Amino acid sequence: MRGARALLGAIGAICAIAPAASFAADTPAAAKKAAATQKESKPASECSDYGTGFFKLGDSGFCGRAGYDVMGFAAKDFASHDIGLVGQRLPSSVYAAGVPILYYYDKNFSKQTRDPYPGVDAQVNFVAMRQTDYGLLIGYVNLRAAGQLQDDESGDMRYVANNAVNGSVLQGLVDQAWVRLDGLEVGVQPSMFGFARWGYSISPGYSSLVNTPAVSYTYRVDNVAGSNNSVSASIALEDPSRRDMGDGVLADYGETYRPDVVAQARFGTPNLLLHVGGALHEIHDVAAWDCCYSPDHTLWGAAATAGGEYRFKWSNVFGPAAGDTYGRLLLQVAAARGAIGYLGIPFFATDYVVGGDGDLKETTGYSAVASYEHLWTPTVKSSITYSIFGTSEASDMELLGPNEPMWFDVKVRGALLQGGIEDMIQPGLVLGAEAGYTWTTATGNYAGASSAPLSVSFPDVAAYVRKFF
Amino acid sequence: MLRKLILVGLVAGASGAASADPLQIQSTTLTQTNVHNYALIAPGSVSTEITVDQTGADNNTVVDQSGDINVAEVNQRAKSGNTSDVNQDGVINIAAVTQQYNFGGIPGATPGYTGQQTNVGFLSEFNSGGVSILALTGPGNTLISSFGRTH
Repeated sequence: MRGARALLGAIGAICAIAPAASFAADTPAAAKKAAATQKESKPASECSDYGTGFFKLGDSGFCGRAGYDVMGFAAKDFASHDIGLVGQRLPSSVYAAGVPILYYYDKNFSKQTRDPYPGVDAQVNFVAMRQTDYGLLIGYVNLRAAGQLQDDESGDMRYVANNAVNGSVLQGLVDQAWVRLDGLEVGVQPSMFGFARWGYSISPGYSSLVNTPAVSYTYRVDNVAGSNNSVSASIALEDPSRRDMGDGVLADYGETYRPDVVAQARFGTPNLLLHVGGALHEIHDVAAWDCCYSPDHTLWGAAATAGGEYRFKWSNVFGPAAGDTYGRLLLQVAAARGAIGYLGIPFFATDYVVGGDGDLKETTGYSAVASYEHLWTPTVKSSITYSIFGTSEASDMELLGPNEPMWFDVKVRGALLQGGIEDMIQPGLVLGAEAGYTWTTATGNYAGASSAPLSVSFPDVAAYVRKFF
Repeated sequence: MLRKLILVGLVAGASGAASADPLQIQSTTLTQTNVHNYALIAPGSVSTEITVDQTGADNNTVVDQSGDINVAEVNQRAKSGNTSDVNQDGVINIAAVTQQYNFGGIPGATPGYTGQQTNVGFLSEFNSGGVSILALTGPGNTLISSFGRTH
């Protein structure tokens, strides 16, 4: 259920300690304090220098802090129908591996979505840090158990774990676990590709925020030319399997020996954060090989992103009449070729299509998010987010028979509008509600003949309560 | 009926070579009436009797049968083009292709896909806009995935 998965993903992004490159104001106070201490090149004489809640860990010289974040929610998905996709290899008298084809159709989800569903996302984390001769040493671990009760295709209610995108409980249980020394970070950490957030809504817009096993290094310069501005550059080697978008028929990933290479650059001022990123993702297909010993091909997919976030006080724009209200605006775009997993969109396309001759044709796609958050009072805020995406998945022309050419070109486009409101009724206790509306359209062309377009649209709503420390 | 009688006679005459029982021949008739019709028939190594009837602007059929007894009948009525490719590798192979012209097809109303197991093999059918693609595949070459947004 989209809403549930979205909500479950939200906490992870919110409570995670941001990577060293982040300048977002959401960066936990601990990390900020630590950075400040590091700049001053003096050891933390007291753990309180790192922030509230830090305490000494014996005589180790480390200061630590434990936290938790628990969210319960109830949601309703009103999608009775959605676009379903079927990948198939058509029999061919020319290629033993068959000719790839992709169909789209109107799929009935009414049994899965007929009832509202409850869910929970519980996380506990611990951070420890100390100054060393080589810089600030930080260790962080965040454990997460997330799931929901939902109806399955038979209409029977069952528990679904949402710890990880692939449904694995174990993989997602360790949401983050990393060690950072100065700019070097090793472990399960936020990908360097993603922006600070996917929009200000509690459920995600079409943007990618993924935690992944990685080794990364960030070089950062604060107070550039005596200003309050900062710049950073990062490079990371990340687990490629977290980004694979394969269905096993049109695209089937084999053993991959090379990590994804991800780079990031950021520029920050007290009010502005700009971000650019890029990634290379190795494709090694075995679909046609495993089937019929067609040649085994490899190539690199790629993705790029750019984004910006601007924070402002409305009275600086409209004068005192605007009162004591604040706002922030986020824009982000991403594009990919053969690396659709970097777009943060529903699974409407595989990374590539392998032909009967083993040749690979990369799928292209894009996503974009525009989001605004308004702080009405120090405890009440609302947000609106609009996201779009598009994919174009196609095959090369191949022969079903000696005189029977076939190819396909299927495009899927979608938009998502989300609005939410949230009230912190006590320190660390938040009540919120959010509503969304989704539009999606698929079109196709098969051997030069157009198929009929298929459009779906549906709303969803959710309410949640969240307690954190 | 005449064809069935011939088939049984052939099987009886070739009983020394063919181990198949004529009663185990699986048969089906597949019909397409869209503008652009594609039928891909590959039921694998079972004995089959397949009839494909296509009426459209252009019709395309590929048949690959490798059972002991293979019977294929393709009837195509097109406006512009009929193509048919029949490959049979069995003890008894019978194929008949009829092609006629000056006919048309009817576009499909809404995108539709069905996939189901039949007595002859897995039958998938996509019918949308001006396109109809039909595939009949055996256990060894039925390669299908399903994906999309989760709910």
